[in-house]
Amino acid sequence: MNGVNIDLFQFEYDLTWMGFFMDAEDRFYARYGGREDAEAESHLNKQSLLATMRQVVELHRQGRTQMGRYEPTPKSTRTPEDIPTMGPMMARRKDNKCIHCHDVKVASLRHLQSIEKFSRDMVFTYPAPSAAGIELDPVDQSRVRRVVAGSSADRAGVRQGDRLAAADGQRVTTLGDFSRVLELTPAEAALPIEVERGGAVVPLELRLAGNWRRSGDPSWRESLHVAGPNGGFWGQKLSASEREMGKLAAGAMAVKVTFIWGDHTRKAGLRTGDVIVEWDGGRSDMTINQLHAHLNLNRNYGDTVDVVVMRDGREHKLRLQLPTGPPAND
Amino acid sequence: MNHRLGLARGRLTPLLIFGAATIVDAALALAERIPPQPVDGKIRWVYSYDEGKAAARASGKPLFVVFRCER
Repeated sequence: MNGVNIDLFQFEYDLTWMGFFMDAEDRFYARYGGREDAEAESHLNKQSLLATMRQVVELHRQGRTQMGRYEPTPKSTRTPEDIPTMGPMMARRKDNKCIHCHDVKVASLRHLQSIEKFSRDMVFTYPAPSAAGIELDPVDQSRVRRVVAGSSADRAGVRQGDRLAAADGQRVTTLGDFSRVLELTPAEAALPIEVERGGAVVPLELRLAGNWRRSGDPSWRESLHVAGPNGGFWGQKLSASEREMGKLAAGAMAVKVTFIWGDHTRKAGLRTGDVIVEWDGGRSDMTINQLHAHLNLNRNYGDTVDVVVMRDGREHKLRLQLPTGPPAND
Repeated sequence: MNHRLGLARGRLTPLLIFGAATIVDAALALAERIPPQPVDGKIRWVYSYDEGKAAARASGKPLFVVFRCER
């Protein structure tokens, strides 16, 4: 992202891939990319890319770029290097001076922390359509594949099979287009949408309130570590056969510690090879990213976390005293 | 990580004026002058947004701008 105009190219910087269809005057036809929590490539596939390209070619022929308040109209260039916390962050890197997409978000969040304007909810940028209760088809990306029961979309009357044509007047061609609108939608909002159903355009309204931007499993987000403390170790879930050998139930937590970097983790007595079977009072199955995400979002620096590990065939209880603040070189 | 589209972890901006046959590989004209990791395949990517825009104007075709993680 070195030198990229981030006032123009605004997107979910936690992603590892994002595409834009544009004209030569910095205007957008469609955004291609984004994801649901469950899978990084949930909406990246050759068929949808080709379908979007075909639609964009036609939009380009007609000169129909996106317009309105959801579109960036930068008067000047702002690059990642202009974020005040980026310089010190990159200076600590010895070898690789590449500014990754997630670095942009991390530096932005750190800047907000430095001026005491950060809140944990800020991690949840570019909400996926499921945040509003809409599951879009991975290939035909404006088609509603499923409506989550009891969700905003359900209450609004969105139906499976509807085509989401527009959100607050913004054309929706892809998941990325809808996610862009959601990103700029306030926490409390009545978002007008248009769906095509049976040849007719049906106006509906999504009423969004509360913590709708928060998704169920944000553990894929690289920037999450800015939000709070972590466990100070790395590990991996046991395989089915390993669980069987260790007499650990399927569906229960079983994360083997493979690497420890946190002083607080060593002080707690955690060892490489331990299998974590309980984490902060919970025993449901989690990945290593989910273990960290739990602390990032739900625990504060200085908190104490109870951990149970399997070691030498029996359970050991440990207490993890989280550090009082983020490491100086974070 | 997006293996399906032949991409790996990293941070760059390749551009493709899709449908065009005159895509030019260009040196990265960005602040840190970090060379891009070329993308394998039959598509010839442009690694400068300004060059991509110039090619789009010349060809009358839209741009496909991609940010990908490569390292």
